[in-house]
Amino acid sequence: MHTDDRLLAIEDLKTSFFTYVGEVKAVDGVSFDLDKAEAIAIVGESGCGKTVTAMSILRLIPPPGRIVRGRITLDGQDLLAKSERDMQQVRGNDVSMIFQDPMTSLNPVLTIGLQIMEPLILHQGMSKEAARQRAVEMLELVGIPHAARRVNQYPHQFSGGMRQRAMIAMALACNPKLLLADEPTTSLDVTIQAQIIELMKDLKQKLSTSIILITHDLGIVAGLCSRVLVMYAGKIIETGPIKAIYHDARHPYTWGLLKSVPRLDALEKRRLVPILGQPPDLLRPPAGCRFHPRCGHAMHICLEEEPELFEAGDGHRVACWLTQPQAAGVLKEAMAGGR
Amino acid sequence: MATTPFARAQQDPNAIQEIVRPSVTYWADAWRRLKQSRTAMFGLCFLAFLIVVALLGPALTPWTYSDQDLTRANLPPNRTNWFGTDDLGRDLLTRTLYGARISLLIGLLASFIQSSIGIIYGGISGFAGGRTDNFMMRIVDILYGIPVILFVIILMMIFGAGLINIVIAIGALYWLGMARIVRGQILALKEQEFVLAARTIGAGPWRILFRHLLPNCMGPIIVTLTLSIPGAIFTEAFLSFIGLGVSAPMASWGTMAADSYGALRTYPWQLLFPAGAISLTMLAFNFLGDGLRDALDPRMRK
Repeated sequence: MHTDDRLLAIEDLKTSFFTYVGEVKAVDGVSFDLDKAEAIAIVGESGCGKTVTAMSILRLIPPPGRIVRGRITLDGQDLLAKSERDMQQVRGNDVSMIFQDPMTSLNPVLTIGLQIMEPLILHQGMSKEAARQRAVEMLELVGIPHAARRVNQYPHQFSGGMRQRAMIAMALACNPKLLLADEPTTSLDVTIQAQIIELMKDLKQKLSTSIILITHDLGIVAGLCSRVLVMYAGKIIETGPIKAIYHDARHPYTWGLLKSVPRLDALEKRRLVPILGQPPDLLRPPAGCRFHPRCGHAMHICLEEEPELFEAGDGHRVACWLTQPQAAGVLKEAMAGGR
Repeated sequence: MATTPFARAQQDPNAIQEIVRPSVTYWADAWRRLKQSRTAMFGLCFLAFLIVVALLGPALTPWTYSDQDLTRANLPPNRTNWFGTDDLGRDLLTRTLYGARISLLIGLLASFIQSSIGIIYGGISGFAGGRTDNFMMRIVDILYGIPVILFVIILMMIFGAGLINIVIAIGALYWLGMARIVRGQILALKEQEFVLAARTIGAGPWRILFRHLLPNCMGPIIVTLTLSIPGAIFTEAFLSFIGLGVSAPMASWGTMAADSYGALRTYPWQLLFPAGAISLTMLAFNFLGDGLRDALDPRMRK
């Protein structure tokens, strides 16, 4: 529809790990797209393929993993057709990434400044002085005081929140089109979490960077992202605008995720309901709907046939048989039981 | 207006971001711990002393290492010749100090060469991993199985004796230990997240190896390097002793020991001084290496 605003298009991405016991389908037929200066969230439990999706975009799947099929198009360039050398030009320049743990993702023996300068020297051919100057500006941009002095310090001289800010400065140094944020707040204190999300929101506006936020915490999504993808067992099971997901979720797994978020603003006392069981072993995913063994509303068809992504109105799509008219009875029961 | 204790205080908004704790860098911390080790400090002081006298000493004595005076042959230690003289009347103090130059030079140069080979070989092997690593390490295993000293002797026979040849022979054959240590370090480090982070900003494999991984192994590298220097000095002394070392009238501690052991019963000091110098230097390097190992071990950090 708006092809000129389209930044990233992923079609039918399938990434598998070929272990000695067999093929683990970590990402199995994922498609989505992202506009320029848009932020979306990928939500799901650990091991549902969120990180592998992000690493596939960067083409950094460690062996024995491999992208089996699919298409990843970034700004008109086919990323899967590029050579490794060309990909190195894309990484850090067009697409960059920040990680969960800022304690381990900065090199302990290099100064913060050198690490922010590295992509600038690699991609923009900047001189050392120019890169240092830019590193100081970047540190100021992400809100680190006394940046000119801080730039010469080592990671252990930074606190956790400041390290994550430094990571963000490093990732955004070359002004990339796309930032992949892999659980950027998970290892931080709640107060720092809010600061980092606020910072990312601010930078998205200033630099018009697109963001894919990967998280298992639906609580932090709302402020930053306009759309949500819910992944389960390597597939997208529900996707839609943020309001639709929060107020009109249709998939029992999304209900479960929402119910397991503690809320301070709830008026009445509300019980936190965990989703029972574990995500399936992706070596042998269950037949039919992959969520059916853990689903409280499974029907016969769920055990046999896999639902496709059905339209549920205005960009909202759900892979669940409950959305079908024939399932109205079970759905009514489910709604009556407080979902 | 008089300020009361309950008036609103003015605060610097930047101050809340500051970390109050003074920061201590890794090396400052290691130096602090090294200073606590008495043996390591003894080693360090002795080596500093040795380097100074090796550089200045021969110029301060009235003789050169090759001055002969047969009328003053085989003198015991006395006021003019503190260490005595040898069978050609050469001053043993001058020759011992001059020998320190040769021995230290060989020790440092050979260690530098063997470390460079070992770091690059082990780094590539560990970083490449998989089949390449397997192949490269089997070569190391095979070389380990061959008595290296035999190899060195054969090399010296082919290229002839001489300072440079000793350095090359030792440097080219003693890198195995360093290669194994660096490989082990790299294997552990390359799984760390900062390596992945370096990849995501577009760093290539060589850049990751030399800029991100090897600086992280500096601790073990320095320790291994320090402990390999006495090995090189000892190998040089051994080669000189069996006649493959530096040629006369140049003096190394090994040639001096070789020259004098025949006269052990009559003029024991001729052996005592070079042998003592070798022992003390080896001891000093080993003490320093041990101290460094403790000081650079991150688990010792408090």
